[in-house]
Amino acid sequence: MIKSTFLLDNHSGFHARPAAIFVTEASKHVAEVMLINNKNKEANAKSILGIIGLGIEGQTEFTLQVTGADEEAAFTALKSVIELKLVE
Amino acid sequence: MAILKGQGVSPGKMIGQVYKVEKQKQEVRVKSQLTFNQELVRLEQGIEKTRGQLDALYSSTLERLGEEEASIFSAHVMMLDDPELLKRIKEIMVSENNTAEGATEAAYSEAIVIFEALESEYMQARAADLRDVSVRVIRNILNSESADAEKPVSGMIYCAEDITPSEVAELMQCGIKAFLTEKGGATSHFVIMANALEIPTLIQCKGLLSTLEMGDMVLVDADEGTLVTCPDHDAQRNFQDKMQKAMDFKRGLAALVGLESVSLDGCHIEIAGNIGTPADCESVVKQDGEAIGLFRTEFLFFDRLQMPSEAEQFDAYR
Repeated sequence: MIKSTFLLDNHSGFHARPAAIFVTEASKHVAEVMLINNKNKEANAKSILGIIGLGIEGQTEFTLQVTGADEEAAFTALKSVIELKLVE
Repeated sequence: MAILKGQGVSPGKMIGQVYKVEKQKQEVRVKSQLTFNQELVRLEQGIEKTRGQLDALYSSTLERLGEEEASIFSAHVMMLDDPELLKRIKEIMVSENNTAEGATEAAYSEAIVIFEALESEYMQARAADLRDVSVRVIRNILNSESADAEKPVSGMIYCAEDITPSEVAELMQCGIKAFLTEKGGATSHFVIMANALEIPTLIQCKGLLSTLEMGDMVLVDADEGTLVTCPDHDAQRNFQDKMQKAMDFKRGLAALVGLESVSLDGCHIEIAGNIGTPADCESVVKQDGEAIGLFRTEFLFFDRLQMPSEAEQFDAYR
């Protein structure tokens, strides 16, 4: 299991567009991908409804947790999505 | 002859015959006579058929309107494939011995209730999207008559309780001339699409469905927010004159695009357009505006949860 905490570096939060980008990447991997908000609520990151339901706001911290066969590749890919594609 | 009031949300005047749609409630059985595996096959077939339809709607909307409007349907596909939602549907099928359609309705309803309870308008709009997807999947599982089966004829005026974005996308191929709804919200996805397609639209017309019958002649004035049903000869002729004048005026203005705005005594006068959001600049430029008159800066604060940052506002002002 790989687990790491990130800052969501945008203004509008984890809404439809960023959630859709994230789900698309997470779904490419077999590993289980979870997102945990700063109130310790967790959700399946392959579910767009799950991510939107976490209500992660811009400029707040959240945790990414990846577990499974291709966890390293999945973690690297998702880390780069967070650092490059979710920034506004 | 009767006059109804409505809220004009996409401008224009139109005359035509009514195509009236009354939603029949889908008969959904909640106790299965089949095995779980048979129900699962029905569910999967319903989902695959839905995916095909949504992909087609995405392509045709992309072609007619553009990426932004089309992305409504890629979001629908993502909801359709949502693993948590699928898991919940299957759970309900097992625990309640429910049918594929019954479990789909129940699982989507749970998600819709959660999104509707959230206060932001954004989340409410997602609930409307979920409802649109849910109705489509259930219809496909039941293989029942869909909107594709009985299409209105080109030139008719579409009249319904409310309209979903996927219905607009299906209807834009049929040459519908105006939309009338009894309910409907000014910020819904359907209104955005009607505007992009330049189809005159009236929403919130009280008494619409009880007054109108299929094939009735109506005069739709989305500029004034009025609807005249079964007009007499004079009313119809007056209205046609008004439509003609509005069209001539528009054509006259279009002819002036590209000309310099100079008064008879040679004084240049700047023509500026007022904008609500930075995206409106494009239509000001297209219609030959030379500058921005008024920018509704408070709109930057709407439709979002956080305050816009200084940097973000700076970008918008540029």
